[in-house]
Amino acid sequence: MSFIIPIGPYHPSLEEPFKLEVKCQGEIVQDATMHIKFNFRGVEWLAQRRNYSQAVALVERVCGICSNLHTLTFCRAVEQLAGLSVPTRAQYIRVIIAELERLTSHALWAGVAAEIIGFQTVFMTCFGLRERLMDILEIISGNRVHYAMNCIGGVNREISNPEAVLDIVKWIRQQMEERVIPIFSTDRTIRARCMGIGVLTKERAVNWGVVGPTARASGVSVDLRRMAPYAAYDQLEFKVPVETSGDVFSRVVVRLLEMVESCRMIEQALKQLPPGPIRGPEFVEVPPGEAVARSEAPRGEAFYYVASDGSDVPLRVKIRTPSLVNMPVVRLMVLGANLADVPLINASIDPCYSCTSR
Amino acid sequence: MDVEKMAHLMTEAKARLVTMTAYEVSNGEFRIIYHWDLEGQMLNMATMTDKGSIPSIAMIYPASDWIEREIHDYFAVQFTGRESPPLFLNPEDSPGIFLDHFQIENKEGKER
Repeated sequence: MSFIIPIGPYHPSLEEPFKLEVKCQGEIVQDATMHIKFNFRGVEWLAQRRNYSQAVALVERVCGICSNLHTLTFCRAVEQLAGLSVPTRAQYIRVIIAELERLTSHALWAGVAAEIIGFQTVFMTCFGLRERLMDILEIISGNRVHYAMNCIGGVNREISNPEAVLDIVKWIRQQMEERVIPIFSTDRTIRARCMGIGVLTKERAVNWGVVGPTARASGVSVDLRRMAPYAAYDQLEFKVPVETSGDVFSRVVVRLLEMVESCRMIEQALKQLPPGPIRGPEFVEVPPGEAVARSEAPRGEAFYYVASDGSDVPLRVKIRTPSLVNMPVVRLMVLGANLADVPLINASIDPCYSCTSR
Repeated sequence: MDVEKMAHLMTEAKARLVTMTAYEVSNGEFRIIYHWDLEGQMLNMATMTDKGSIPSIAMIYPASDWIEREIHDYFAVQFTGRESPPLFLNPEDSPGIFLDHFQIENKEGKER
């Protein structure tokens, strides 16, 4: 006999509303239906009724974790429209903040995954690391979550003490290499919970246009920092970790290796940080036209389309977040899985429901 | 533009559909832009709806399923050749929440 189990809208593992209706035969999942948009805020609609500076502050609120990425991508689209060039120092600061944000996001995810697995010690370790990262961001920007670093034509704040940031990032890299990665890759509990479950094949990942660490764990090497470099990424040396087995464990490995690469990128950027101004002109005139910008968010590619009619209010702002393309594949991942693995499989794509709803 | 043919060609070329953008151009007609990624290059293809509808490419490229549903929710654009699932938002609502003439129905009759 099959039965339907509603999971959500308040999900047992993540504190955001999302509903999964799972049809089970015994404990094996046969089918799943997803319901999203429980926290729809109409950000696109609102952005078309604000001027460009106000819209920057608004799009920062699309997501509470990758907030910097949204302002970065929106500003890049507007800069493209206005034909603005961003000072080199600002490009490096943008990379540093974006990579710090990736580190906080992945550390949060690793902690949440450890908690779902049932490994509280690792949860505390990851959140301890994340706290230090948030401290750095607070020192630089004054804020722990919405950093308000990007503005059209540059960045708002200077990194006044690069050595202090460098010391903490080196410490984070050491902690990752000596503590977190060995625990995740060798611990029997974690391997038993993660290996071979929630498999997404390379073929399906391509067909469903999956992005970010979820795609890279299935052998699809899509990374905009490498394929279409922006800011100062073309000046930095880094690897793009790719795994091929496509299970939850691969997603864990890809994210942890990415954290080490992010630390390396920040170290390079801080050492190379060139002198000069950090922003362009105060007032920007945006001529009629349309522009597209994409950036690699912690969860994958974030996309912005901005159209202008020459006024100070955008004609159309389209936001596509990585979670919107990654979430439909959860249905494919849970088919044939054990019911007890569903929360972990769902969490393994690092879904962001507020991004998805916008 | 023959969107189905475009979807076939782009899928064969191993392009990835990033998203689709829609906005109202004149009353009831919409400009739809298909944003494809081909090895890091963006290819943006724009077309217009015909009487508010456009062929669906969800059967050719499954990733467009949620994108089309979202555009249907926001602009009430009809995607022909696919079943119309309930709205992402409240399933009982009517589509087109981003349109200027959209009215929020107060079905419960309670004062808010």
